[in-house]
Amino acid sequence: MHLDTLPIEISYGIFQYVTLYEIAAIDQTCRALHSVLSTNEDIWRNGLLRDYTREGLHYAVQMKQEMPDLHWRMICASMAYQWWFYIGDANYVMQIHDKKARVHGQLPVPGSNIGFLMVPWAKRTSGAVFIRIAYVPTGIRFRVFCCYQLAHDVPGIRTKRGDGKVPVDFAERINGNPLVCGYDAGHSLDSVPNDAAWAGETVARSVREHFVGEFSIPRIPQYGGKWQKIALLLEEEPFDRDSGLGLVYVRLVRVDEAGEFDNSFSMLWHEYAAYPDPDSSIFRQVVEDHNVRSGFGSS
Amino acid sequence: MVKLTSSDGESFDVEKDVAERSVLIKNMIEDVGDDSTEIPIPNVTANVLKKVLEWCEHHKSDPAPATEDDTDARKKSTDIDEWDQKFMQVDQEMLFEIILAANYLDIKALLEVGCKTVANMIKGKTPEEIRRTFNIQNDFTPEEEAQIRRENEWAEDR
Repeated sequence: MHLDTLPIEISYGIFQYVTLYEIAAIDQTCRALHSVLSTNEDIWRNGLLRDYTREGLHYAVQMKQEMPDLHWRMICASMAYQWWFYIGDANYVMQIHDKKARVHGQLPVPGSNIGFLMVPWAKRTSGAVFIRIAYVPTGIRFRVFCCYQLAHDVPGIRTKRGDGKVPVDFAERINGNPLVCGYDAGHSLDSVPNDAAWAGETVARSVREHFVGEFSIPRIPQYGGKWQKIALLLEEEPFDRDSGLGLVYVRLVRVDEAGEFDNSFSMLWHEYAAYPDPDSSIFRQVVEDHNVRSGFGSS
Repeated sequence: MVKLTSSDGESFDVEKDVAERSVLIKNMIEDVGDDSTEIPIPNVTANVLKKVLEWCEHHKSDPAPATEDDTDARKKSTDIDEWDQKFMQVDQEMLFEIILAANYLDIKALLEVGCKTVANMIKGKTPEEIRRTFNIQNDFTPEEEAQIRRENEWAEDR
């Protein structure tokens, strides 16, 4: 008898004492354990129950209610990224909180990469992502550009969290833009093909011009992995100095050739994480201004 | 005293309160209504049953476990008392056999100790370290492994 051949009730018994991250490690060991964790998604849900506060669980449960087909494993991922929050089809809210950021020893500074939005392109060869950004309560500026999920395919370009290094070729590829210096401020870095850098520059200009508005990011088929990453770069400090809060509302609309929105879930990431306060006036204002179907209750 | 017979035919004379740490055995004794009847334990071999009974003997005076409240259910401690830690210092084959026996015999506290022991062996380890610890063969294709790694990327660098 081995760990990978135990009856499921025993596996449940063991997994109740490990964290979500350790469950994720177990998932990667062999087919048998991967199968157990794929077919018994309660293990992931139970992990959430242990690892998150009741407040955090509220969002996880809400997410599951709105997208019942979504595997608890994906919700775990979303909660780990926990910087964006699903609040209905294609609507995400992110909140950046001063206190949370300080936990990591530093505030995100201008130029920091504050997050990835992972767009599931599947096998499509064309289309675009439309993103709308609003800045609340004060002008929080972002640069937005594309990069692609090639990290594991391109040796030597990925840096690890906290090593303080930015690959030279990466910096060169986006033309020495000083904002790039903060790009790898706290996490691994994926490769960015030249075309993607070009697309990023274009979009960045668009964001600055429109400040608050909707813009599109084209799909670049030759770099078409399954996922396309869209990085958001800070242009200014993301906080209202009085309230200590920043809140950015992002609407993601994926459009393919038929103009049809695919309801696939997008994984999102960032470490400057905080839960939006659904009772805050800022949050309510965003929801109201953008006619979002809020997934958060008022209580 | 009650007489228990292992799957490989070995008999054990055990004090009733020791044997009744097992809910399964307790129910069987009640059903039979006669303490002198030999009770077969068909799923547990003698060497494992001996080990389980050693645990039951040591814990025979333990109070009944308290009902878990909500807080306990959410935050599970993996602390194991010193005696149980030493008790569980066995090879992995025996460890998993003890866990299976505890599950079959319905000895909740022993099952918990076993699960905690395995959990503690997993804690903080990477997939490769877990494989090494439990002698698990990586049977993924490189493509599958890459895909599953991407699916779990959110848990990296924690």
